[in-house]
Amino acid sequence: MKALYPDIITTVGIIFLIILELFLPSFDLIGFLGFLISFISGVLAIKYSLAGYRFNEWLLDINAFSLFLKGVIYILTSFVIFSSVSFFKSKKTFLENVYTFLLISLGLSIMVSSKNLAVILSGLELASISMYISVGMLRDDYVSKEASFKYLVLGSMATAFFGIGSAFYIGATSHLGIISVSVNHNTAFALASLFLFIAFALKVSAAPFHFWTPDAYEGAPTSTTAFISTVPKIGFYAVIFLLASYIFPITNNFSYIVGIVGVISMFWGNLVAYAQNSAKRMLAYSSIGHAGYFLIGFSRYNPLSVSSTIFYVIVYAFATAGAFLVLSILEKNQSWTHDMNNYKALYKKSPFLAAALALFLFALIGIPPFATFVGKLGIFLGLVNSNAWFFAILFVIGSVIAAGYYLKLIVYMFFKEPVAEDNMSLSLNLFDTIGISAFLVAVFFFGIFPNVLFDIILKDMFHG
Amino acid sequence: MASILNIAIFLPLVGAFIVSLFRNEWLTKVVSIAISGVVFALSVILLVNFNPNTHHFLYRTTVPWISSLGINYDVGLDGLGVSLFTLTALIFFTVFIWAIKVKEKPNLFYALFLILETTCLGTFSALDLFLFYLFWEGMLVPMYFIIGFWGHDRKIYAANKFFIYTFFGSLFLLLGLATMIVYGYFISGHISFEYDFHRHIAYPLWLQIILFVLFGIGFAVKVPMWPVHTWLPDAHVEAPTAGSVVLAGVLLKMGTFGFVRYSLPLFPQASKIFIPIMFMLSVIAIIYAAMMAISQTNIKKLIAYSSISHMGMVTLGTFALSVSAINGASYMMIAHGLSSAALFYAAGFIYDRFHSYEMSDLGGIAKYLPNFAILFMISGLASIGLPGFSGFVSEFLILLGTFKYFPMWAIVAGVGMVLGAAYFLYMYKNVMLESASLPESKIQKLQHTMDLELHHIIPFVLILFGAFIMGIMPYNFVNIVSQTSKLILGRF
Repeated sequence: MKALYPDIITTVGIIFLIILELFLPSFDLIGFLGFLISFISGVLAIKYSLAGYRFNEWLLDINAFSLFLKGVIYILTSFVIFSSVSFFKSKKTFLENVYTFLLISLGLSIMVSSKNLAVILSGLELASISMYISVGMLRDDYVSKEASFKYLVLGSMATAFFGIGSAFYIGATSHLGIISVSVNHNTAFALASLFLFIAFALKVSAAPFHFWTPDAYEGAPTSTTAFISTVPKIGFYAVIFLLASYIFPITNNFSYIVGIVGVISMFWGNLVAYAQNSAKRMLAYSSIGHAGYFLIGFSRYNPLSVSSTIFYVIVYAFATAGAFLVLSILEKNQSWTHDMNNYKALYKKSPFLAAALALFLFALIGIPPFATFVGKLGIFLGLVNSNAWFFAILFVIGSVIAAGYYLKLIVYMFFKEPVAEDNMSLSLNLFDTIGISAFLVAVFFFGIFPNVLFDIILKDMFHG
Repeated sequence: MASILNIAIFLPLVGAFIVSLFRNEWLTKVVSIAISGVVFALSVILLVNFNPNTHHFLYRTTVPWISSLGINYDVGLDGLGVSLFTLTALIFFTVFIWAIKVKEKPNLFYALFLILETTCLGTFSALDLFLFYLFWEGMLVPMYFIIGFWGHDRKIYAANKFFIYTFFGSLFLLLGLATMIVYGYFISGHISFEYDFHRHIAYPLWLQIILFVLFGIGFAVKVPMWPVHTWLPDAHVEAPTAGSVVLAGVLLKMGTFGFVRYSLPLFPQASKIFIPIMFMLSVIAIIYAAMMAISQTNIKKLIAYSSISHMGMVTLGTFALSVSAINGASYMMIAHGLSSAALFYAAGFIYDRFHSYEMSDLGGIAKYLPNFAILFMISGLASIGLPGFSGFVSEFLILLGTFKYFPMWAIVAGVGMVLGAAYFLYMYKNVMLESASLPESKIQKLQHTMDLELHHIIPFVLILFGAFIMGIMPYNFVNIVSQTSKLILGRF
């Protein structure tokens, strides 16, 4: 029963915040409480995960691994809330984004606590609907609303695919639980796998199901982008891991579909990113490219490759969220658009932000000693281990291509002279600095001591 | 003694922290020079105390690090390692002295070089594949910023090209490492990144070939071998003097070091199969780069091409697979590190004084800057292999070792070395001599140009003294690397 505490705390906390907002509409207070709720839940979840608690009643199946994922999701959420308060304050939005973030993380947390498709769907929808809302948070901004609507329409398609996939699944197996099933050469089952896979490929923005991503990520308030481009991924990939371990292997050669979607996504994202003039949109394409890496990691069911992929997703979330948060701090400046020209000689205006963003970008390239490098290495090991040479070589080529556009932004920030004298002042308050530093430290720390995360993942992941 | 090695590796990193914490220009320079001086002193202690009669790794430290992946913190030095370690420490020490008058962002400049020093020292002493790769890639970011910040006109292009080429090579190296580790896992049942562990595995031939190619791409880009050399002239021309010196003196050696440390002992049979290809590429590099050097009008580009040519000699010697050739190759890594560093210092000095690398803007310098003329001449002669300097010993050993089994290749390579004398003397003539035909305005300017200052002379003297010592007492130094060479050849 204790395994449920983190989610219960969050649920109660959300209700409390909604009521509190009526009486005390103070951003700092609500933001801080939101951070606290999420952080406490996260720490509790990690603690229970290490203690090996589990809860296996009703339709839930919470084990050490899902507690660990919940912990990461909640802690990451708390970090993002912490660093985004000042951004939302500057945008003069209402306070609902704090508990919208909490609702998203609660939905994700429910999603990873079950192996039943119905429960997964309910968690997925809670998270998704909250995400549509949080994307459209800037009411006066046309782009934000358009992004929200686009995301809603395409996101609902994912739900539809999930629904029809579940229908075929129940038809083929007569239950909704994702457990070891023995059906061979069953068309209904193959279709079920395909539709479920498409649903999640859409959610993780893998090409060719990515069309909502650039618009939604660009249109959303930047702090929200930092959140929705990272934290939900952890939950989604956890479900993909579930599918990859129980459902995909049953249909012959299904893993190739996963791998090929991954390859398409990697090349599409990384190549189209070159054409972008907006840093924010470029990072959106980068996350399409990364979806490719992760799907390639899941294209073979091999302990090393799937566990490294989960590790990679987690540290990638830290790096990307950090990068978007730097962007959000820059955006607090009213005249800031994310056009590359704005970034010219950024290091002169704010050495800290420029250095932080550069380090996050180097992390995304996958250079040691950043944690993403360990993820990349792990996926290489896994792919080679399962003789997926073809994918391994493509992975290398894709990674090299990706390096170019990250460097482009770094070049703009450090080596280009500013166009004209602009008196743009960048305000950097203490919260921003602490928030960004926390992400930086995480990206470094998990790179030098990856075993802190890796051991937990390896220990718990395959003993669900 | 083991702790000395660890201190020497990480002291510069500590220095980088101090420098970026205080951001005081004066303090930065004192700390950097002091730290690099201490590191150099420590490296000399390591070199002097090195026991040349063993092929084991000395000064070894092994600490478990990431146990679930079989990764240890594992450092130690063999003969080749300790030589390159000392070279690195020396080059960085001179770089910090040379750059003392850097005006633009001095704190960042020194911090980046300090980080770079740690990664270079680490690369030569890492005995764990993960650690090795960490240091190997770690040098990419500081070098990228050094070229990008303090470079010349086309610095962005050069920095990006450098980054992309090297990163491309490194990812193949990473794939190779992953393959090797997985094979080790298949046959032993546990994942291990230990170098020793992998050295004792006999890989099947097909796997050796794959691994040789994957590792080879990574190392070849760094050396650089023809045809992946094109980043080097750009990077050298655009980099600041200190950057060029480190690039030529230390970073290029990582590639050839990789061949000697990893490719040859780990994949002996594949290495044998690839001898003709490696020879072909090396000889093309020697001849083609020398021809390119002759046709340059930009002195820095000329020196860059001469580096490619010399590094071709090193790869030739490496794959000749005889003790004296590998000794020669190891020797040449050091010799070329010293002589090319001196030449790049000379080019940098010319640029500081005359703001141009183009021969047409220069000429007749020797008469007005005699001290510089002498040191430049000595550097050049050391580079083209005049007896009495280290370059001669190394070329001699390489040609000797190669001639034994591959006489034709040795002759062709020897011709390439003659070209070396041609391009250097041609450059010297154009840049330093011919004062008779100078226009009046230039003579005016030359008369008011200052000769070498103390912070120029110290680096020159240290480096040329090193080259001289190695030239007249070759036996002591060959002795240090020869156990490594013998051990490698024992695998064939």
